[in-house]
Amino acid sequence: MTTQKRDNISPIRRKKAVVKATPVPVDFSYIRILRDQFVFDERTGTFHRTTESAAYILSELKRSTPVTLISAQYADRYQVGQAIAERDVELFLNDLSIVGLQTYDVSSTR
Amino acid sequence: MRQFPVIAVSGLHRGDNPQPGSAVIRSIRRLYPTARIIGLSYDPLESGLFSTELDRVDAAYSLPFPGTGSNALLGRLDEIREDSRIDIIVPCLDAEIPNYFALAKELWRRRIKVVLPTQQSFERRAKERLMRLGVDADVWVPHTIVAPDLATVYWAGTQLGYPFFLKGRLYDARKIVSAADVATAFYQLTEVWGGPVLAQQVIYGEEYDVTGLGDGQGGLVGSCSIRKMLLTRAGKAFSGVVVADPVLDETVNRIIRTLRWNGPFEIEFIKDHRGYALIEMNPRFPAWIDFPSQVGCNMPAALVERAMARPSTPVVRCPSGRMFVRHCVDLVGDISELAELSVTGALMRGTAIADAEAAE
Repeated sequence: MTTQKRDNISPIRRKKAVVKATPVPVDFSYIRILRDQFVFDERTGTFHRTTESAAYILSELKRSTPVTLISAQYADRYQVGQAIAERDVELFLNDLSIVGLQTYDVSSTR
Repeated sequence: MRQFPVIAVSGLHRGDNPQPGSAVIRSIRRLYPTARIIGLSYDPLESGLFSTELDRVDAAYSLPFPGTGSNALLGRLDEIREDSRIDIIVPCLDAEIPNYFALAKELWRRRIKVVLPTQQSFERRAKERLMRLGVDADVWVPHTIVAPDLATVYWAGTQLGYPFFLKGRLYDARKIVSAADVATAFYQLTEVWGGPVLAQQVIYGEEYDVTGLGDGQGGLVGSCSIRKMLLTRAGKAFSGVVVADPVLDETVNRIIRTLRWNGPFEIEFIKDHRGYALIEMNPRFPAWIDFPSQVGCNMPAALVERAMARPSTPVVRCPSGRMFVRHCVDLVGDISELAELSVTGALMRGTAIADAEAAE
């Protein structure tokens, strides 16, 4: 079996060698939700005030509920349209990233 | 029935820059309420001398400052022993530790136990050698430059960029915002603590503090990790919350394993997006050590039990989310107690006031 140096790989083979991003496992076990509006991160010791609807999304994420299902449940719970629900959930997931509460590949649960 | 040891504890002041001694005493008494505890004091106005609560001392004796050397300390301990037995000493001030290393043989002859790391471990965690420890333990340490003189501090500023921290050899630090701040800070620190000083890169992030008890074999008897929530102006934790971060735990484990640390420790970290930066490691408990004791993680009591080779009371893990907030109270004393300790160098709790009243 011969080995090929990296710079001898043909363009076709080089394209096939690209690795697809793998989903990042979600772990919210370190998040504690208190009184529906207070979130404590056991790893970092930081805490955040939040809204009841945000706490609901977070509690569903803790249960590993897929994002699409969360959006549907959110729409039903708060009597809003599906598009609004999806937007709210997406915005909240962005907020979680900003405050460092998750490293989450959103595409992995769509 | 085997008598409980007489324990001597130093570091009894709890002002805005609290020392750990009173918290150590409080922790010991939580499990051993009748323990006889002697205070070793450097100042008759140390607040812990006036407590009548769990952290009270049964007697107190003045000590010569650590800078006077180990012979002066040994001489004073021998004087104290003519008055009171001492079985265990728990030094709570960094500046004292080298003297206790120097007296290891003498103290062993006198059957006095002091739980300390090896001198090699102690030296490896010194501020000026922290970067080397970081390499050995695979832990990030901010860029640190040892500066024996003023010129080196100026040079360090060109290497680290401004701002940077200028730290005293044992205690204290100044944030140096520009070259104009360097000389004043250098002289202030060296006047009090001597040289060298250390110039260290500034890391911005949340502050974490870990206390524990090493078993001398590379393992831990117990530990507690907190995020500092409130800080005093001196940067001390006035409030903290217990965290449970496997990354932090493993970082601490690596340090303790590398040093094969024996005895109490406090390790300070700052965490930014890159991870935990090791800032310093102190060879004693921190001033908040009684907080974990109150939730079942009583490391001072475990230290005493290990010193006496007794079966240890299990040290439970502190549950994450438990928090403490420091509260300060006013303690009542009498001028006769201050006079007693200042003049005679010794104070027997309760007797000074009685003697003064009888004299009147």
